[in-house]
Amino acid sequence: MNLLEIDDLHVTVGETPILVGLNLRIPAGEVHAVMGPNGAGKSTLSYAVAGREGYDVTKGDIRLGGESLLALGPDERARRGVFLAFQYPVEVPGVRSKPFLRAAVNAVRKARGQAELDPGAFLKFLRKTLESVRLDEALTNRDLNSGFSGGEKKRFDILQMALLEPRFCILDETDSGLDIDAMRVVADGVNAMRTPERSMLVITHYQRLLDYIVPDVVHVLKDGRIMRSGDKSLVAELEARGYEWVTSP
Amino acid sequence: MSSLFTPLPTPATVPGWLTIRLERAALRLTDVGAPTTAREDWRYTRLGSRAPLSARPLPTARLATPSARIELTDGQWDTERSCVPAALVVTTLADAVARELPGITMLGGIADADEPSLLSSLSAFAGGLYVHIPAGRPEGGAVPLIELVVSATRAGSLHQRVLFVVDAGAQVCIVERHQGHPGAERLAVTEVAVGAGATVDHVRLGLSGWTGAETTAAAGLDLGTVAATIAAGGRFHSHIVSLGVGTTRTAVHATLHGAGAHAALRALSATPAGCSHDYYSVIDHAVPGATSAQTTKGLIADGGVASVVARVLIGRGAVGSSTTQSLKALLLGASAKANLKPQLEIDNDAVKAAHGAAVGRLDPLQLFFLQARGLDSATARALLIAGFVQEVADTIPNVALASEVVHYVLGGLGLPSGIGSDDLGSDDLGSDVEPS
Repeated sequence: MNLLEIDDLHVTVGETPILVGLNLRIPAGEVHAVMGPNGAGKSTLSYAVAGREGYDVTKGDIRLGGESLLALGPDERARRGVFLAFQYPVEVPGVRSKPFLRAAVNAVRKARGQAELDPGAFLKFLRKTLESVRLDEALTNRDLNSGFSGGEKKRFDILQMALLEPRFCILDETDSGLDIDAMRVVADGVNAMRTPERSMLVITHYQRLLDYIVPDVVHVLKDGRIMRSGDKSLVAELEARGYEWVTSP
Repeated sequence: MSSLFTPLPTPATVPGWLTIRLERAALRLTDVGAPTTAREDWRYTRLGSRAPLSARPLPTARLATPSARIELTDGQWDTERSCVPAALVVTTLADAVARELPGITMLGGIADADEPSLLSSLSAFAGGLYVHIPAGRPEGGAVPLIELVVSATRAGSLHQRVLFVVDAGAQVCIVERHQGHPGAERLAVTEVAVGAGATVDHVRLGLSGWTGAETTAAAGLDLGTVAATIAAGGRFHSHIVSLGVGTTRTAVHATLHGAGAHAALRALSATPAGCSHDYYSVIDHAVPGATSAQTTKGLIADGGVASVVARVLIGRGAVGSSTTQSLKALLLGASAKANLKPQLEIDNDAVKAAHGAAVGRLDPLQLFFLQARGLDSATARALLIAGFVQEVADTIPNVALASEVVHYVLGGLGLPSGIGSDDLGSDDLGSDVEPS
């Protein structure tokens, strides 16, 4: 059964059409990778699914578990189980990480009909999850993403993903700015979250991330559409031949 | 309003030094008159007719137990409701003048300015208060916390004047709460004499129009002035928090009188629709080798106006001075307005100085980031706003008071409060509930 369904998606940013008829199906439990050249619309796809303002869907539909997301704000989509790991996690000076994390966890839990966590219960949950992504608790006492290294930001995003337990995760160029060791840690965190119920969309430029997070299906996004789909062997072909040869769906 | 700036006759029984000051003040006030926007230092404060406003409910949350609590109601010292430990000397200014208590000659002499508020307030000194903070800490070692509650129960003009004399080497945190009837027109002056090596944290919570009673009145005025003189090695930390309804103007005059003296002036305002908050500060580096820093943060709701003029004076002889300024305003609506004016007046080259001013709006990418984690728009905005004010709130040395300030700021703007508070201490593991 498909968890995410995207039909004939057209998205404009300002006056510029970026996605022009994108179709995608991701069944529950599968990890799909989207690769493509610069400017193909990869980040636009992630923002359109997550509901960022200014990324206007002019045609088509995005459904999660059969429910259209288009009329929902980004917070409502998150509470329904969409999680976007940002290419560049946003620094928010002044906002303390730990209270933010608890507020986010409780917002999602409340939407699922679960009891909100009091400070003690949340701390236990947080510490357990911190171990899984090998992050120091001291980081959570700082302002959100402020002064974090590139690797810390990405791991902090994965921490949030683990805490919020989403149904559908988008990892937007999570490998950018990561060294090999940090990428392994992030990939381990992501792989630990693979379940039969949860799906993931991994957006990347390079093969190396997909050596650690092995996708079930690989798609090539070019000129605003999915041009080709295949198994993991497609990655090697793209590495060898580039994107020029992919010219039509 | 005019009655606020009409000098009272000089009493016959005051000593010579005070007679001279009172007569000079009366003459200067007659000369300069009530302030108008024609004055550069009052250009953003409109004292004319104001629309009726409703009182805002006074929150019940309070800070940690103070060492002393002093109440001034409708300009009178309420001794019944005040609680003063023996180590502290609190009395009326008239009594302090008559008894020649330590530091009383600082009255009216701390800021030598032709500032109408200071001039006018001096003539009404008699009902004001004198507070003497001796050197040394009480048993237990905690820095004493003195709470001064200044309330208005009715509309009309009110004068309040307080002189704090802080002995050399003493440490104290002073919290003033100015609250009450939305129709009151207040002119409140606080003078602080910071002794050599003393450290004073002064917090002024401007809550005019916040009261327990439901009242609607033609909006009043809250004109506050804090004047401090800082001796060698002394430290004066001012925290002006403006949350009042109507028109408020708070001025801080800090004079660095000794080498190694330091003044840190911080201001935080949350300006609702239809209100204006003005902050005017002057730091005078009167001697070489003193340092200062100013940080202001303003939140302005749609239809509100907030203005900041922050001056630093460094004269020819004040070599080796160091000063920084950071003025920021966050506009929360299309018709919110901010005026920020950093003003460094430096007359020598051996000075370190930096300044910056920025007016902006909530960052849409930060908002999206928080919403993408499940927080609704109002909560995400409140979190960002709490984050914006946190830098100033964190400088308040009393943690409970700092939380209270953030709570007031968010509540005053109608936003969910408490969301950004850090109630997750590292050992806070009181519950065994596991997430399901």
